[in-house]
Amino acid sequence: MKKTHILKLCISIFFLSIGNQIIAQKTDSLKIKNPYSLRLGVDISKPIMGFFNKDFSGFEIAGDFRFKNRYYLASEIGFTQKTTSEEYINFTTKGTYLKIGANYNAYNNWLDMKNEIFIGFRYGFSNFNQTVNSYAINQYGTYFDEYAVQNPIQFDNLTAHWAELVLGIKVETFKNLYLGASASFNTLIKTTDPENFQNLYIPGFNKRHLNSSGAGFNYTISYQIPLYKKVK
Amino acid sequence: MKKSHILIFGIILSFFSCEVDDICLEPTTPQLIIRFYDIANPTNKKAVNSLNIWIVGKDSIIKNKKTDSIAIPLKTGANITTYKFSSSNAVDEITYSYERNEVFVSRSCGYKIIFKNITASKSTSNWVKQLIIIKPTVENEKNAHIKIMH
Repeated sequence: MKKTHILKLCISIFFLSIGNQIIAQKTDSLKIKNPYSLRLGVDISKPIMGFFNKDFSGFEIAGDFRFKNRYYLASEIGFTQKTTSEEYINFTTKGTYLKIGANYNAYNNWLDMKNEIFIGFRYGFSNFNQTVNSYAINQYGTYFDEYAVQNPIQFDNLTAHWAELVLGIKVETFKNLYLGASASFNTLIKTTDPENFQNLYIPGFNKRHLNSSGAGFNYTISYQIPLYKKVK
Repeated sequence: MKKSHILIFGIILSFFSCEVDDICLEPTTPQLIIRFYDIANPTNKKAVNSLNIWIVGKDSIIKNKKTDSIAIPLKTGANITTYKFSSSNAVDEITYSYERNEVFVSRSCGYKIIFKNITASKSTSNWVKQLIIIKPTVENEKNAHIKIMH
């Protein structure tokens, strides 16, 4: 008895799914032309952060190009200067970065809407310098005064390579004008650490955690330059 | 977004998780470990009955302790640390000289100092009869660095 029930269920699911596909194909017959375009924007979060936080200044330009229905080539280029203050160290990181990768739009737009919920990856590269402004020796107890060193040490020509997983959204607010937000989860591939110090902060990668991971976010305003239109 | 996408994203995300590194857990600047031995029987440890250790002008760092083993800090900002050691009423002054190497530990721990080529000397022998360096490099607190015979 039970077996026949399961069999019936399977058959009905099978026909249901076929039926669904036929309906889906029918609605798909409406042809919508979408632009294949270059989109350029700026990250507005970094200048705002720089305005409120005197230890940070940064700028980022983001661009993408739709090369296939749901796929975009994407890139970010930026500059960061940040002073990090820890309990025993104070250091300044300064440098530029470049990220190259692609986004996949997982959002199904209605008709001619052009919004995105995307997942993407990036390869990131940064060239920077670190200056240890001051540090104090971490010692046991308080019997002796803390020994603090004030003369800055600068390390030049440092590099870092990393991979990013990006998750974000983009919404067309006015014609060809987009607002976007994204978060990235970074994992360090390789970096040249200075002698007797560590790249605790890397432009574009941000704070380096113990297991060489990092995270970032951006809020972009971007403008789409339509190049040519094509059916999906 | 398809359910499978969310699942894949979740799996990938788990590889990118962060760790808390705001608390210093690694060992930092080590202290000098001293063990007290019997001058009459040099392989035997011998506790000091009433041990006081201090720097001239400061409070005692060790006060009236009965022990055969102590850990005391060395100055991280100078190459010499001079301590007064007393047992009951007898006082001896011991001077430790060393080189300092600054070593980066981590974000939360900062820098520590490793003491190299340590030497110990004394001008009097009121109760401390002999100083023996076991480890001239003080880089951790796992073993004793100096023996004091009394």
